[in-house]
Amino acid sequence: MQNVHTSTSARSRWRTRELLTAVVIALAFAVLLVPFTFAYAAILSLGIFARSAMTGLFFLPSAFAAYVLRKAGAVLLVSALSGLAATPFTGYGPLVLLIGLLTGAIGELSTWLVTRYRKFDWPHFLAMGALSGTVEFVLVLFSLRISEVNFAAVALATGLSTAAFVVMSIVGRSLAEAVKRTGVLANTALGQETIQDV
Amino acid sequence: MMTALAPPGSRLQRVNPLVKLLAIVPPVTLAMLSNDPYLPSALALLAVLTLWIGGVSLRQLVRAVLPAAALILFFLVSYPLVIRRELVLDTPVIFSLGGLEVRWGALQAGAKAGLRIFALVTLTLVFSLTTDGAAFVRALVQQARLPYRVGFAFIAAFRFLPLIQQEVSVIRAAHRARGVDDGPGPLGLFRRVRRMAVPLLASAIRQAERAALAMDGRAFGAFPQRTWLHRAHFTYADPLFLAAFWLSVAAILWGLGQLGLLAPLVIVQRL
Repeated sequence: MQNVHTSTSARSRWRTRELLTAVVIALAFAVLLVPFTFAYAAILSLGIFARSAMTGLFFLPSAFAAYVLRKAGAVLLVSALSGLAATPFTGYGPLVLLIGLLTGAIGELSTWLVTRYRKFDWPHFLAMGALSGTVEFVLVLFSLRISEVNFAAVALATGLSTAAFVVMSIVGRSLAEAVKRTGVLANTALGQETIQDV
Repeated sequence: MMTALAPPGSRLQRVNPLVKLLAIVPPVTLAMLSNDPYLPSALALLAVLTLWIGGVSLRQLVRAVLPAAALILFFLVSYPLVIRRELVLDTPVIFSLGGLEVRWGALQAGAKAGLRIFALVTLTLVFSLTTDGAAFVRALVQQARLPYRVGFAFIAAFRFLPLIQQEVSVIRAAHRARGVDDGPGPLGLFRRVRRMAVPLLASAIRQAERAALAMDGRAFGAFPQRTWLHRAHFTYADPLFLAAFWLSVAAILWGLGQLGLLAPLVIVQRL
């Protein structure tokens, strides 16, 4: 029993290597997405549908981290750090951090519910993205006062948000596979899985 | 941390970051639940005054608040397009364009939503414009019991940022040397981001691995506690700030209530 307990805690414990990998993943995405973060307000002014499509972009770091690290807390940590790192470069202050935290918390919950940090095949991964997109938009609707918006607009915007998150899940996973081919992910959960397969 | 704009040693910089975070929770909640334009406007004004009194210059304030003010415009433009018609049918038409009628009620709802978001942003500025990132992480670890390994991940993020930015320049120079042209406009930007993603992530992860080896070599994380160069403290200024801020929020509620300008808070929404 003692052995089982030890191995479980060892699996859930973050190693320094994993922590720093999460940090640099977050920073790399923060730097890559800064031009899009700048454009966020302009895109917001195009309306609720443009906003739905755009917010999916901020799920990209979460999707990448979930697929590479496969650890409880990875999605939330990467998303929060990504928002934190982008904060000084944009004029929106902590709004970016709040979006990062919100997207991360939803992504973390979806990853836990759908994949249990173990099943990362395409159907599970896409389901995780779809669930995140739907939940994120439903939460945003509360700040917009859901009772004031007409049903067709809500349905269309929710569908757009879900689709955007699914697309970003595909992009995140494909990007992780591309980075894996360079060999730098050998010490991550994704890299270890490949070694076990071989 | 680059987000801290208030000069070091200014009044708000001296307040403990956890106290500032605690202070903004009630007004942020009130702003989220508000259903009139007056409460969020008053809370936003309180936040701006707090920042000004706390040592943030007017120029810095304008720079920080303007993008959030643009959000009000977004809601004014978008709400008439998405609002349920039956909610605003009894209000006068301001103008019509083709089949689209913009009614006074829709603009009011848009203004309320925009002011709500504006208040949320300005209230969170009280924390973010006056808080040093490292001080916040220290307070989280030393006083809020956040595991120090996670705390150091946040501190490491600020140390890694210049390295990542430098790496971006190197990759861009390498692409230019190879004659890569991504073209202008949003499509060009998208191509550039796509081309940079893999080399940037690969190089950043390599750097992280090297840093992790160095940290492990110095026994980082080997002990449940660690020593600190700087200690986070609570001082007499913390309860004073908390009391003054919360009393101001209470005064706003009381004042608006007396003037009959306070609408009931929206806690449960009906579809």
